[in-house]
Amino acid sequence: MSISRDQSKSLTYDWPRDFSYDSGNLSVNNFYHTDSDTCILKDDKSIFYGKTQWDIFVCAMAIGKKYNLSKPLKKRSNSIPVQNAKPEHIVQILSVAFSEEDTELSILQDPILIRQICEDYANGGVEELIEWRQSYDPENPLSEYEKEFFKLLK
Amino acid sequence: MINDEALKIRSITVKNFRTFYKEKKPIELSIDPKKPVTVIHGKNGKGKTSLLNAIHWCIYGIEKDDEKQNKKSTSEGLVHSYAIDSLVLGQEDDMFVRVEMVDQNDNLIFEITRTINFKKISDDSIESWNDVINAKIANSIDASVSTQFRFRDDDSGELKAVTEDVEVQERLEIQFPRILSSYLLFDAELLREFEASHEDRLIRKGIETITGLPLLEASIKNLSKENRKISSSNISKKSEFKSLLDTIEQKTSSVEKYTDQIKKLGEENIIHTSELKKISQYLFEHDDDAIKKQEEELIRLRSDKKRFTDGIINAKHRMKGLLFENLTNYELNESCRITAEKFTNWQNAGLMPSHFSKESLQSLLDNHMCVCERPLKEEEDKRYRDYIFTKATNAPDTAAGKELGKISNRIEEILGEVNSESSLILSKQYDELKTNLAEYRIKKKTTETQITEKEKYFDPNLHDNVTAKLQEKSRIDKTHHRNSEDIGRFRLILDKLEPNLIKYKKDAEVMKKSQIKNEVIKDQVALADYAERILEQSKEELFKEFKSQVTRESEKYFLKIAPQADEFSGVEIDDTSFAITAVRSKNKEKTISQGQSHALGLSYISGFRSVMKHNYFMMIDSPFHNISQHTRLRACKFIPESLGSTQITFFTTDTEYRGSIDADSYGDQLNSVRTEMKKNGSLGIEYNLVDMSLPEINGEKYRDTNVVEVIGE
Repeated sequence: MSISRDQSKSLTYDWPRDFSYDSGNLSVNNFYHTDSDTCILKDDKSIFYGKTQWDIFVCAMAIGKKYNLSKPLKKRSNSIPVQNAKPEHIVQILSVAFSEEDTELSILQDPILIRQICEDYANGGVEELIEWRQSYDPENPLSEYEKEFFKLLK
Repeated sequence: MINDEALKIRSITVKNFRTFYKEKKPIELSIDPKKPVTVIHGKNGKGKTSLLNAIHWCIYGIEKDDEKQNKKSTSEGLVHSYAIDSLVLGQEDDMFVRVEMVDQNDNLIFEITRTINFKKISDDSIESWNDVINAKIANSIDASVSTQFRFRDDDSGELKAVTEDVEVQERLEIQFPRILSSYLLFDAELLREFEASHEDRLIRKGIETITGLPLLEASIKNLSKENRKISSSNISKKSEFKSLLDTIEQKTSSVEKYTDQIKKLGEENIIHTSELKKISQYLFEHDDDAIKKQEEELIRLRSDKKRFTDGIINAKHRMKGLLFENLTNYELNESCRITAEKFTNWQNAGLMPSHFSKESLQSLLDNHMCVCERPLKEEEDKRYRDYIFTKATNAPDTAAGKELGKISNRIEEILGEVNSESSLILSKQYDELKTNLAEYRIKKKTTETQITEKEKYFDPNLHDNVTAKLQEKSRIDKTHHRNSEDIGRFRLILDKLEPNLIKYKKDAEVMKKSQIKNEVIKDQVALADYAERILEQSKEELFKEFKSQVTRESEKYFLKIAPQADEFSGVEIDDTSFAITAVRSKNKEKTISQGQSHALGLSYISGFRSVMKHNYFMMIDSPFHNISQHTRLRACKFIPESLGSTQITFFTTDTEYRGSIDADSYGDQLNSVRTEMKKNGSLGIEYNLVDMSLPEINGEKYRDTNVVEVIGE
């Protein structure tokens, strides 16, 4: 069972317009920014090839949350529009926000806080993704993702 | 390794020989083995070489220079000019050289006297070449030569004389082989150029002579000759037999010729067959059907390659997708679990917003319908209406409530998806994809290799190559065919020739057997054959052994006396030319110096002499010429040392013999050769050659060389 886009909009209608990555960090910026030659979205060896910044964001956020890598942004990019988020992304964002300690249902009335929690985790997690990209086995560009994935499957 | 059986010259007596006028007192050489050296010195041109030549002439009947240069001298002849020119008509005189030789016990064993008697028989003053005197002299002089050779008879112990010319020469040749003359009486000036141009022919012959090889050679020839003589003399029908042998030889030659031709052509055809096989194979692999088949095969391979490439892309794509789809949710598993728990708690507390809007709930109330759109019964109506009314009243935001419900459901789903069973399935799926990827990669690589191989087949020059192969095949076919025809023709000829040849050989054998007079002669022939083979073998072995010894001994001497001997590792004697070469151990490009060449020559002579059957006397002309004082002193020490008890006579100039070098800023004082030899004790006797004038005849000046023993200096 999945949720339709129209139905989700009602939950995020009062959210800030954009989410951000840390554009003050050059390697993070190059990782996300499609104008950069090293943007992960343009790398056909990557699992993010042809995907969106939202896909990078939620994956980085999940890793940040899993390993508690929360890192405040130095400079906001304001480049990830909420309206482009898929319903699955909203589910993932909310699961991160709600699973924070002492978070109550009322957090829904503080979308800025939700965004900050998620952005900080995503900013911590994206450094892992950058590291994986730099240290993969030349014979297998997916090696670091595989390692992580099989660790989670156990 | 000098043989103890010594042969020394006790004395030399000359009369009227070249510059020596009248009979001189015998020049006695040192026969003391402890002081084996005699030095005969004098100024340049005072007769040293003449004296050496006198000895050579006495032994060999020819002067050393004449032997070397083989030309008629225009200078004075063998006989002193004054002795000839002072003759009056009818008067006669003689010239002689006498050499007495002793053995190691100083017993006289040989005496050679070679004499020229000359007489003025007319007043004829016209001059012409005289072979006896070896000069151009007046025809009025008649000259004849005679030789007397006296030797000690081993049985009686007494001296026996031989005067018959042929016998004298034979005996002298046995005792003093002409070829050895260079090793008994040699010109040391040659030593300087030893490495570059010594007389190879002479050395080879010398080795052959002293090893007795010519004797063996002659024996082999004689045996063969005698064998043929015995065989042929015992055949009565000589001409018939000879004719038969000629026919056999001719037919054998023809058979050999045709057999060779057949063999040659057969070998060519074997090569042709192999080449034709290769060409046929090539053409078979490149005909139209084969090309079409290869093209189809290539298309199939390319299609396979595409399939495998797609497989790789697909597998990679699916692997990436699988990771992308699941990684985030697996990472968020714990977050989802916590959120789900919170949702349950909030639900139970009635804090969760309703799924229904106020309007929807009012509509349900109005129509007495349940949320599942079922009409409500009377008894349910009141309770439900109250519940729905409460919900509708409490719902803070029905829209958000709807969404939150959906999100809660989705989180439940995610938790349901991320479990151990699905993990196992995902793990299997991913492994399968990886296996597929690896297999596709291997298949693709194999196919690429096959494609490369196939593409080579489709060389751009394929058509030209096929045409060239066809032409080559045609050419080889023709040659092969022609060769086969020739072979067939030659075989037919051989088929006729061979039976005839066999018959001729049988006839010859029968004729030979029947004509040989008796069994003794047969045995003689067989024995001679056998002896001939044995002698051939002995000759080779002897030759090798003696050459090896000469090399060894020469090397030993050279490394001992050569200036800067440490530059050399040894010497080599060429197998065929017998040229000796000093082998450098370092600085290989450097040429050999004069002193080193001198030492090399002396070493070769010494090495060579070590294999002589007698320890012959040794006379060296100009041993110290054109070498440094250092080398002179080394040579005058080394030569007596290395030759042991060998009697040595040096013919040298006064300057080279008596000259010394004072100490100066360039080095220490260097003794004269004479002082050095006196010091080392090898000097036995020394003579000085002194020139004196004779009375003039018709204004012509004459000189006389005298030999004066130097005593007490």
